Amino acid sequence: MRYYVILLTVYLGIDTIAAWGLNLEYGVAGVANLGYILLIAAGGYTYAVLRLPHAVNLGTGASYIGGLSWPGWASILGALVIGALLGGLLGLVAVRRIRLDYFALVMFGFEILAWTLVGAFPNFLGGQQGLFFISDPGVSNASWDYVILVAVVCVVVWLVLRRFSGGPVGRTLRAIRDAPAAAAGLGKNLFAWRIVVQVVGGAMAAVSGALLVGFIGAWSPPAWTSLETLLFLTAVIVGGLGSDAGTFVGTAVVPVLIVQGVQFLPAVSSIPQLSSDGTMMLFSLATLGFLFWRSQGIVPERRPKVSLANVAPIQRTRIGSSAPSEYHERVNGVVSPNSSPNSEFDTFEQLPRRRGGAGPVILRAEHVIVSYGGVKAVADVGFEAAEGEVTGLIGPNGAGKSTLLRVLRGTQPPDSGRVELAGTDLTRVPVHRRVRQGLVGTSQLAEPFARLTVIENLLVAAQDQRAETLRGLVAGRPSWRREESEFVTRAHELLDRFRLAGKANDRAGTLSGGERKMLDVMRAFMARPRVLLMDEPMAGVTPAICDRIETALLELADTGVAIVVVEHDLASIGRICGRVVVMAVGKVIETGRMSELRASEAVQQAYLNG
Amino acid sequence: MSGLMEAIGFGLASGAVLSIGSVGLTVQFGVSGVFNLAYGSLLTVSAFIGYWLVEQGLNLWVAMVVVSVATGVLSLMLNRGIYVPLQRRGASPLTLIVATLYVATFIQYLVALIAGDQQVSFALQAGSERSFIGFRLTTLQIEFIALAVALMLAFHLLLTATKLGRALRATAGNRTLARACGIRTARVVDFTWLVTGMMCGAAGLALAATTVAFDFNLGSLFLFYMVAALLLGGAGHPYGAMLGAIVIGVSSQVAAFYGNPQLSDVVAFGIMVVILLVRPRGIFSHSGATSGLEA
Amino acid sequence: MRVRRAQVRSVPVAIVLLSSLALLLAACGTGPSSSSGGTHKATPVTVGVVAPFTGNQAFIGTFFGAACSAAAYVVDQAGGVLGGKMTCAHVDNTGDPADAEPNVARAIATLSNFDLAVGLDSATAAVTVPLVENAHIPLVTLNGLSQYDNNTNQYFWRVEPDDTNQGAALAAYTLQRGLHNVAVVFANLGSSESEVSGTITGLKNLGVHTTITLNIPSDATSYASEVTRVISSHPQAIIMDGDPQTETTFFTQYKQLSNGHVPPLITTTDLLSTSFTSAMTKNLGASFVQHDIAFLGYYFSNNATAMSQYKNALEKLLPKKEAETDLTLSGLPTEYDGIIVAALAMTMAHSTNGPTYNADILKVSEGGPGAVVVHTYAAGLAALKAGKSIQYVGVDGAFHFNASHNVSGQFQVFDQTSSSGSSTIATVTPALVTQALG
Repeated sequence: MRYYVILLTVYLGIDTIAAWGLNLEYGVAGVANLGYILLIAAGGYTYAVLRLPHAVNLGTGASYIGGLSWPGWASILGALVIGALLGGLLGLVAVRRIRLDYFALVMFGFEILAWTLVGAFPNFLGGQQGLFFISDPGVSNASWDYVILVAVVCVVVWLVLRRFSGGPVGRTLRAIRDAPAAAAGLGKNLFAWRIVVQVVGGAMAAVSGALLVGFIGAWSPPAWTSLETLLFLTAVIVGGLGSDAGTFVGTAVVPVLIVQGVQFLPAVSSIPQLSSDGTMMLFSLATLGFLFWRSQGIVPERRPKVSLANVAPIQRTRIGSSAPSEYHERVNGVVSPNSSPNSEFDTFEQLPRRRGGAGPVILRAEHVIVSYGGVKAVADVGFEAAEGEVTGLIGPNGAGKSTLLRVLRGTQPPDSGRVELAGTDLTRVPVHRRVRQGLVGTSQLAEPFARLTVIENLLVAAQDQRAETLRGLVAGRPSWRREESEFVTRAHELLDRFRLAGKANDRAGTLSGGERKMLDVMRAFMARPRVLLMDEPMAGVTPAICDRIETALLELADTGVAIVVVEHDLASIGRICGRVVVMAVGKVIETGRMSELRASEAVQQAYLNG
Repeated sequence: MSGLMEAIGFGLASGAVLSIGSVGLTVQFGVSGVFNLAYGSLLTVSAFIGYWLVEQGLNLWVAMVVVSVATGVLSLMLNRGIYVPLQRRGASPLTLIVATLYVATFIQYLVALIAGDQQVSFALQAGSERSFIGFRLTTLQIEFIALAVALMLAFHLLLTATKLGRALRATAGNRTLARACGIRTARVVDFTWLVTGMMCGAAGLALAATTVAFDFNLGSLFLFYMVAALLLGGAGHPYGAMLGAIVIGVSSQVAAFYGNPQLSDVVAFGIMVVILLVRPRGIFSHSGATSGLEA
Repeated sequence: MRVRRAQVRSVPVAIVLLSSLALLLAACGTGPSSSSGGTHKATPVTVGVVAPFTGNQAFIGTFFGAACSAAAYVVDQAGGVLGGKMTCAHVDNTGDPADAEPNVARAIATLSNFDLAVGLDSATAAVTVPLVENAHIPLVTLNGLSQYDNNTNQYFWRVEPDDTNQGAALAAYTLQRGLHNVAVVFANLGSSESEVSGTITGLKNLGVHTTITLNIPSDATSYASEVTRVISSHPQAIIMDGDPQTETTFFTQYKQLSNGHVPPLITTTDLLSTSFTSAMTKNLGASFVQHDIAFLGYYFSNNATAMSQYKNALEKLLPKKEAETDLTLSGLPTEYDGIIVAALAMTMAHSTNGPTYNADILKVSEGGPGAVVVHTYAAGLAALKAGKSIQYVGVDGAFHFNASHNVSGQFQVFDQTSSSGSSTIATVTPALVTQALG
C-alpha cells in the first residue's frame, strides 16, 4: 500500500508537470498540440539513453544509441534540453508556415512518424520493445524520497511556469490566443511567442517524461500513444483551460483519480475490455460535456483585478494632448459634465479650432498595386498622411480603400509599390515590427481579447514592455513593477476618457458592439502611435460613442499623430478630417477638404456608380 | 521494372479507396468548416456494419449501399447533434477539432465495446488476379478502382453541372454571402454531411474488404492517410484530395517495394510534410484562398 | 501596482479529491497484502494474472486468465490450498510499462492474499518483475527477455526459455524439415524483435538460405508490394512473426497475388487462437490451416494424466471449441503447471506466505531421492499428507530450474487438425537450437 500511495503521488506530480506544459501551449497560448506525448516520449528516451550504460544487451535483440552512464540529475537536464530543442524545432517547421488547425493535425502525423521510426530501427531506441532496466536518477524510486524529488521539481516548474502563464507575458500569450491578428496588430510577434511557448512546453514535457522513466525504469512505444495526449488534453479541458491551478485539479481528477478509480470497479467477466473502453468513452463524454456546458472547466481561468487604488503614486504620463489632471479627477468613473470634451466639437464648423494643423508628411505610399485573381483592387495608388492631421480615405464599396489601408498596415502584401514611414522603407516589414516603429492600425471588425479584462486589453497594447524581454522574464516582477504601474495609470486615463472605467475589470467578451469598437480605438491609443490607421472606427456605433471616438481622435491628432480614417459616414469624416482622399475602382480620384469634395462632380459620379 | 509497375498498380488500388474517403473528408471541411476527426471512426463503424451484413449473407454491393446510407445518416446526425450546437455556442475551429477528436474516441471505443477488441476477418473471394499493362490486380481491386472513378466523376458533375453544386461551392466560399444570395445554407450543409458520410461508408467497407482482417482501430489509422491526402491537396479541394490520395497510395507501395516496408509510411507522411512546408496550403490552393470548396 | 494573485481556490478542491481517492483506496483494499500465514486453515489464495487484458495483445490475457482458472478449478476440486479457496485476479499490464506499473502496484496494495503472480510477459516484464519481486511474492513468469537468463531474483521462476531461443528453434525446425530457402517476415511488434534476431542468427548458423527478410508494419491495410517481393524470392516456406491480424491480411493477399500458391507458414504457438485459425480458414482454406501452418512452442513432455485433467478443467470452464483449439498448446499448460507447483509448495510449507513457501517450489519440481512422482494436485496432496516428498510432473513434464531459476527444455511443433485440436508433428532437439545460437 505504501508503494502504491508513493506511486500515485509521483504520478500526480509527473502528470501535472506535463499537463501544465500542455496547458501553457493550448490553454494559455492557444496552440493545440495533438502530438504532445511525442515530447514526453523524447524526454523519457533522452533520460534513458543518457542514464543507461553503454551498449548492454537489452535482451530483446535490439539496442540503442547513447549509453553514456550520466548521473541522474544530468540525464534529467539533458532531457530538458532535448525537449526544449525538439519543441522549438517542431514549432519552427510547423507553427511558422502552417495554420494552427493544420498544426494540430500535423503534430498528430509527426507522432505517428516517430512511432514508425522507432519501430523500424530497433537499434535506435530499442525498437517496439523499448528500453529496460534504466536506473533511477540517484533517488530510490521505492521511497518517499522520490516523492520529494518530484515535489521539488514541481515547485521549480511552477515558478518557471508562472513567468509565462502569469504576469504581463501570460497576458500577452492569452491575447495572442484570443485574437491572433489583433495581437500582431499591437506589435506582438506571434511566431516568436509561439516558439517560446513550444520550447517551454517541450522542456516541461521532457522533464515529466524523464522523471517517469526514472521512476518506472522502462520506456517503450506503447507508453506514448496518442491516447496519452488525449488524457492530458482531457485533464486540461476538464480542469480549466488556461488555469494552472485548474490543470492541477484536472490532473488529479482525470489521469489519477478516474483512471485508477475505474480499476476498482467490479470487472464484468464477459466484457473484459469494459473498464478500458468504458474509461475512454467516459473521458470523451465528460470532455464533450465540459465543452458544451462548462467550457471554462472546474477551476476557470481567473484574471487579476486591476485597480488604480493599488497603483503606487507615480508621475502621470501624458496620453494625447489632454491635461492629465482632468482625467485624474475621474478616476472612479465619475464624469463631471462640464469637462466633457465632446461639447467642444459638436459641429463641423468647430473643426478649424484644431490647434497645430498638418505637419510634415510622415507616412507615404507610392505606386501600390494589389490584385486579387487578376482584378486590380488597388491600381497604382500613391498616398500620404501628415503629422497632426486626420486624413480621410473615402469612396464607394469596392473602391480599394480597405485594401490600401491593409497595405499600409502590413496585413496585405502589395504586388508592387512602396510604403515608407518617416523615410524608412516598410514595404516588406511585418505588421508587428511596423507597430514598434509607431505605425498602428485597427481593423474593420472589432477584435477584443475576449477572455482578458477590458483593462488588460489595454495593458497588452503598451509598447516596449520590459516584462516581455528575456531580462524581464529572468528578473521577474521587480523588473517590471514600475512600468506596469505606469501602464495601468495610462490605461485608466483612457478608460475614463471613453467612459468605460466602470467596466475596467469586466471580460472584454462581455462588451457591446460599440464598446468593442471603443476598446479597439483605446488599444491603438495605448500603443502610442505616430501614425494611426483606422478602418471604419465609427461603423455601427451609437452617435454618443461616435462622439467620443471623434473627440479622442482629434485630441490625438493635436499631439502630432498622423491619423488615417477609412469611413463611410461622410458627416463624421467632415467633422474630423483635414485632407480627404477619394478612391474609386482602385484609383485615387480626388483629394481635398470635405467641403470642397462635396461639390466635386467626379466624386459624386463615383458614388453614384459605386 | 515490372515490379515497379506492379507496385504502382497496388498504389492505385489503395489510392482509389483512399480517395473516396479523403474527398469526402475534404468536402466536409470545405463546406462546413469543421475538421472532423470522427470521420475515421465512422469509417470503422461502416466497416463493422458491412462485415456483419456480408456475414449474414448479403451481397457485398448491396451491403455497400446499405452501409453508405446508414453512415450518411449517422454523419448527418453527428453534425446536427454535436457540431452545429457547438458552433452555435461560439466554439472556435480549434475547439471544434478537439471536440471531434473526443467524438472520434467515443465512437471508436463504443465499437470496441460492442464488437470486441479482437480482429474480425472477411471471407471474400477477391476474384481472380488480372494482369494488364504490368499491373496485377484482383477483380475486387479493379471494381473498387472503378467505383472510385465513378464516384469522382459523379462528384465532379455534381459540383460543376448542377444548381446544388453551385450552392455547395457558394456555401463553402462564404456562407454569409451565400445566405444573402438566397441559398439555404443549412440545407446545403446537411446535404454535405449526408453525402460525405455516404462516401465515408463506401470507403470503409471497401477498405475493410481489401484489408481482409481488421479491428476497431481500422479507421483511426486510416484517418491519418486521409488527412495526409487532404493536406497534400489543399484543404477543401476535392481534386487535390484525389491527387493526394493517389500520391500517397502509390508512394507508399513503391517505397514498400524498394525499401524497408517499415518506412513506407515515413515516405507518405514525409511527402506531406515537405509539401506543407513548401506550399502550406497544399498543392492545389491559390495563395488567397483559405478554405472553401474549389472546383 | 499590485495585481492581485489569482486565488488558488483549487487547493482545497484538490485536497478533497485526493482524500476521496484515499478513502476509495481504503474502502476497496484491506491494507497491505500480508498473507496471514499457513496457520489459519481457511485463508484463501489469490493468484494475480499479470498480463495484457486490453489493447491489441489482449488475447494473451485471455489465455493466461483461462489457464489460471483451470488451475484454480483443479485445486479447489481437491479442497483448495490448506483449506482455502484459490481465485484468479486479472491484473492488466496493458502492454504499456507506464500503465503496468500503477496497475501492478495497485494489485499488490489492494488484492488480499496476493500470494502468487503468473504471466508477466515480455512487453512489461522489466517493470512488473521487480515490483512483484520486491513485494516478496513468488512469480511464475512466461516472459522471454534474455536479460533474465542470468539473474539473482529470489522469487523469480521462469518456466519457458527466452525469446531468442524460441527464434533459434524456428530456424532449427526449418533445417530439420529439410527446407533450404525460406523467407523471414516480421511485424514491428515488441514481442517479435528478440525472436527474429534469434531466427536470423539461427538460419545463418545452420546454413539455411534466407530468400528475403522483411520488417513490415503491423495492421496495415495493404501488403501488396511486400507480398510481391516475397513471391518473387521463391521461398519454400515463410517464417512469420506478427499479430494474428497482420498475418491474416498478409497471407490472404499473398494468396490473391500468387494465384493461390501459398508456401507453408512457420510461426509460433502465440498465434494459435480461434480467431486466427478461423480467419485463416475463411481465406486460405481448411486444408492450408490444417496442413501448412506449423506452430512452434516450448514443451518438455506431455503427461497424459495431467493433460486430461487440464483439458477437463478447461472444458468445464470454457465453451468446448475454445478450450480445445486454443488453450492446450499455447504455452499455457506451462503456466498451469507453475500454479499447481506453487500450490503444492504452499501445502508443503504449510503456508501461503511467499517467503515461507518460495523455496519449496524448487523441491516440488525437482523431487529428489525418494520423492513420489505425482501428476495431479490431488495426488500431490495425498502424498504430502502421507508425509512423503513429491515431484510434480505435469502437463509439460517437470520443471528443471537452474541457479537463475530458468528452465531449459525442448521445442515442439504442432499443427492444427480439424476436430481434435492440435497434434505434435515434430520435436526440435535442444542440440540443434544450441547450434543455431552459435
